Amino acid sequence: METMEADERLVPLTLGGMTYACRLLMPRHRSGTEPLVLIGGALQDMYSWPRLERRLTTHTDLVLMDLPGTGSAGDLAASAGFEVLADSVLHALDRLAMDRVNVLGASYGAPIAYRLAQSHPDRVARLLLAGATPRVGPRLTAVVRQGLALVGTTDSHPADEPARRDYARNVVDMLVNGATRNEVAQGPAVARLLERQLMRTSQSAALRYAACHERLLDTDLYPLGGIDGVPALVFTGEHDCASSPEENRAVADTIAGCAFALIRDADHMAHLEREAEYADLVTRFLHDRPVHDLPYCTDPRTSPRRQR
Amino acid sequence: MYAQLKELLITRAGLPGEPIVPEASLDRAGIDSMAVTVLSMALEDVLGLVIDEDELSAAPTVADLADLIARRADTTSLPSTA
Repeated sequence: METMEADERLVPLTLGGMTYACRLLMPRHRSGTEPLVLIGGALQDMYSWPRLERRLTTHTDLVLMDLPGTGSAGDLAASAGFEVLADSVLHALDRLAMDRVNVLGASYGAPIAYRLAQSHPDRVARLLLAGATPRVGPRLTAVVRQGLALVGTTDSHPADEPARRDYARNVVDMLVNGATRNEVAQGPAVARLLERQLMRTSQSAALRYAACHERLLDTDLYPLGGIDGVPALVFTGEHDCASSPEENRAVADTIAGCAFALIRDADHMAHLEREAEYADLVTRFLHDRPVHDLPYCTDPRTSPRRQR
Repeated sequence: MYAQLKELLITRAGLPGEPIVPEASLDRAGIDSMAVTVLSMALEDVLGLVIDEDELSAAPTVADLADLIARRADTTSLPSTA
């Protein structure tokens, strides 16, 4: 049964003047694996994963976070690096008295999860990265810069509707690959949902998104040195053009013994497009079950180079 | 309409059927923003009804949502008197 039977607890957190929060969902039966900390994307908060919540909490305790600069948390300057966010996660684990956890970092959350596993491998039982890229590519960089120019500063007026619409569509075309949208399960619906959400973004929220996005630009997202000794899985949708299969593979190659998977008929938004398969893949890895030769994944050794 | 709505939510939006009962709130029934988007598109595809996501998600319960769709279907099928 995939309905959620879990108790919920909200925990406010502070670290070095930063305020943030996490949300615990604890199934009413033992899960048999370490709690899963889910660190989401730059446009997401701790309530952005209702479908995965429902599916994952039948198998594991789940911790969702509004890290500084996202959701209900206080602002975080764009100049603050991913290390600050990884430290925030570590502080949360200490507060929650969780010695060891599984960590899933998706998109913007992936560099945060990676840093935590790299600096504190003893705290991370398993590392999962979804939609990871060593650097943001030129096409996505251009879209992010378009957004930064549109949002301006705190005192700026919101940009006019056509300019915001153009930007929203460019973002959507990156997140839901425009070239393969009709091949992707629920692709048109996810695109419509995202465009509506982007068009309704307030100026204050847009400024916060901009700070998150700026953090991604012109930098290597994963520190040198790799990771050894932490079981890891890197995965994304086979049509992902925000972080291509090759880019995800490059991140996987920095982690010793890392498993790699590409979900068929999905792209960067695989968690919405193929939620059941996404949850199954995550659950398998959390329970040390095989993640190769799955019917809903392509063979990554034969995956063709995709349009960027 | 309730049965048709439930079928659309299961087959098109991929929701589990068990929580979708007439008295459930949309949240309790698992009808999230993604499901509402899929439903809006499916209503247009299947029934030719244009009901946007804001209107659909304002329904307090699954039964209210079914009523809204049924009313709109009735209105749409009436011959124009203009």
